[in-house]
Amino acid sequence: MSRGAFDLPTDATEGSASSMSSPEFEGQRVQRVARAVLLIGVSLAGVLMAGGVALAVAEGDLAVFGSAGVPWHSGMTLAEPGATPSLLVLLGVFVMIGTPVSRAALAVARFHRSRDRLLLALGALVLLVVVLSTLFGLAV
Amino acid sequence: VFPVSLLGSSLPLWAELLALALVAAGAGFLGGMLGLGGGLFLVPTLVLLFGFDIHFAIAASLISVTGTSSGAAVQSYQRRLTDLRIGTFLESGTVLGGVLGALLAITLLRDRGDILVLAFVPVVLIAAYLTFAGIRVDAPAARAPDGIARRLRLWGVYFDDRESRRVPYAASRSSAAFGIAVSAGVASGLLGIGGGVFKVPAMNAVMGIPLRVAVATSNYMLGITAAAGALVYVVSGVVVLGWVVPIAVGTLLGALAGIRTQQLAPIRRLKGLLVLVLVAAAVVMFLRGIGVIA
Repeated sequence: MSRGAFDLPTDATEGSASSMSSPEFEGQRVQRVARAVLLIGVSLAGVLMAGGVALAVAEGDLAVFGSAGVPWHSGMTLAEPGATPSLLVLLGVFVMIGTPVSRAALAVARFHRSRDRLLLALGALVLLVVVLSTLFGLAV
Repeated sequence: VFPVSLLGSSLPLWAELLALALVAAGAGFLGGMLGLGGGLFLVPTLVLLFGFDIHFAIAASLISVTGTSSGAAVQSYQRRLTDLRIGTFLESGTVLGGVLGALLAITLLRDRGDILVLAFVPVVLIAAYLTFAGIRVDAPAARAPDGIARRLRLWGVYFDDRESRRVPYAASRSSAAFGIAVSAGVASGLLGIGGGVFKVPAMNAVMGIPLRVAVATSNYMLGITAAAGALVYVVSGVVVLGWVVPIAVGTLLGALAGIRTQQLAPIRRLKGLLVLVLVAAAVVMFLRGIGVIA
């Protein structure tokens, strides 16, 4: 396999100088941002979820262990007294779920910057399906 | 199915939460150690040991997979191995499969947990076979890219720090790998597994992508697939949020510890034993699915 066989065997790995014409420093910056987002996301999710459960146990508010679903879906409003533990856990769950999606969003941003239309379309499709999954879940 | 109990015992709430966290950490550790992710061990454990409804177990596992994917990515980020182009190409099919699988589980199979339990059996057995057979190639022989790969420029170079050299690669048989990726997505949404056990061979053995790039790219993909599937379950109301916390946190910590042990020689020798554990889980799930055991 020679280089000429497929024109441009450059580095396409995440956060490095790549075939998307990003200069090296930009790639490293994106890499640092992505890593920070993941780290903050996972840590924040853990703190929110653990805090919510600890609060629920401490206050004896065990609704979070007994009613299925997100608060607004199970008929409980977030403003209800005692909803705080549920809200914290819910936020934590959504932050945990959203964290890997942020990587996809960063990838889409890279494809957009490099004017890579096909990959941009595929990346946007991925994000669209993630958004639609929420609507599908609400609909069933 | 609530309140849950460990093997029918009546523990106080804090003890149930602790037991869940510890067991989830164990499942995450085994999954991380074998490179399978936690779901394959976690779902049977939650169903068989704690008596959770399988829909909840699947949802909790998917949420845990999102955390594990992010945590593993933080651990391995400095290696710069995730191929965003190949990952995005395959993920466009996998994420659709994931949402379809989740929708199938909570609509047509909403009252047929037995079918979901049975569906788990072949997936666990295939995963056990792939793990035991070890059909992985560190650096496959370089191939010419196929039509799809040329169009999407699915090739690259990664730096192999063990051999201190740059390794070029290019994707071939992209459509076959895409088909496997879609199937892996359906399995993920339907059964709560990450699906890396299928995606890594699809990229490595089918497309000809080096193993380390395939593993990192699979991790990138499975977090997104699990997120889409988890959203369907969470928003539809299948999940009891409080019980997810010890499971997700335990799995995350266990998986991160397991990944660190992957290269230890004694652990590699344990692989056969752990594969047997997987097969045993499949047998028990089968018996549960056909109603022989409760």
